[in-house]
Amino acid sequence: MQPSKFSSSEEEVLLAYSVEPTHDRATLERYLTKYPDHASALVDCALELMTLPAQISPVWLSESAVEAGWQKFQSTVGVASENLFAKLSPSAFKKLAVRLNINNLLLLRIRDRAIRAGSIPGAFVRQLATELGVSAKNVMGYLEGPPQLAAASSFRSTVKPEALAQVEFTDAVKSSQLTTEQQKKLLAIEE
Amino acid sequence: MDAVDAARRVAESVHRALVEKGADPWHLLDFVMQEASRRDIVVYGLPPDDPQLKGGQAVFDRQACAILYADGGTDFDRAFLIAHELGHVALEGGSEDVVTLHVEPDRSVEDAPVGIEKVLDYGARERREIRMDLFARELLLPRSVAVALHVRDGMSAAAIAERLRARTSMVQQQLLDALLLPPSPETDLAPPSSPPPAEDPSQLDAA
Repeated sequence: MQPSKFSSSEEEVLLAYSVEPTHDRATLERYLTKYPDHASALVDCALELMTLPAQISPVWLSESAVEAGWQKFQSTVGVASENLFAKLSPSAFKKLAVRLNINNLLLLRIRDRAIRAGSIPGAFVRQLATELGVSAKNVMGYLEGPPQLAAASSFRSTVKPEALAQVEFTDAVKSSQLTTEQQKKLLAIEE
Repeated sequence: MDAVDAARRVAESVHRALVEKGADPWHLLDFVMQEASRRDIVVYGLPPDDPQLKGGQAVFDRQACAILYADGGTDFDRAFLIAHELGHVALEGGSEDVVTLHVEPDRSVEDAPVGIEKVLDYGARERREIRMDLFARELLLPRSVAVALHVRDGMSAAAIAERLRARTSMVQQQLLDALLLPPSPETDLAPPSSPPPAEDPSQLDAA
């Protein structure tokens, strides 16, 4: 048995597996391939999850533990594009909005990928990339990901959170309480 | 003093501090907007079906330092949603994103679980939301103020509600809490001469 490339703790691996949307054979095999050291625990965990009633949450851990496990898993398997906004402090987030000449609300929609990536003008994507200090390709890759709940995925709710519905860039501009001048500039941006 | 009492004391202190700075407690929406502004929080009213509300009635976004709320109903409804989110900031430090699905302005304080109910009937999240509802109510109309208006000034619950443009049931609930429930050892129903010190969020969590 080959050792795993990454030294993830058993708890982290099981946590990441337990929050997978599906626990079918393909998912289990993917984990077994990635984490052969924890094969026995993964199989046990999979069997327990199969016998749980559908309405019962399989795990009850603190949000920070879930977040840490999820981030670890993402960084390990590289399945998700990097959150380009994750490291921005509130003040940096606000300054970014000012430099883009938009408000926090529109920047929130962009961060949460609530806007269809293909509808965002290329020039705006390039400006965002410049401000974030990454390539336009990276930004586009991020924006093309699925809508997300929030930067930190901390979601205090009694029901399962739902992903955002995506809107067109022009609709987002019109519904984000920007000034008339800001709207004009954004809607005039060409590819 | 339990967590609910602590939350209400913080709310009352915030209310008094705002009044001392000249905020008008009779205009609830402006009142809570001033508190948000003081905390450098931007507030956006959105259509109730806006995806950015994530299926809830209000959202606090930590990174954007923003409160988003469903812009429907009356000014009181709006003020209550904002006050509820301010509770998450004032009591928990605003270190996490929050989506609030439901608020109850006239919630009975008996909804706040005590003793074994704390672990049997409510999850941690439900307890937090109950606490925030009570924080919001106390921020908008502290019990000490409600009692003074009712007893000293002879205003009925309906008259107070009409002047505040608030729900009568919310005012009635505050009066009932103030007049019928035994005060906590640290709580004097008479208006304090100075605002009590705000508790540290970690102390509230421990309470």
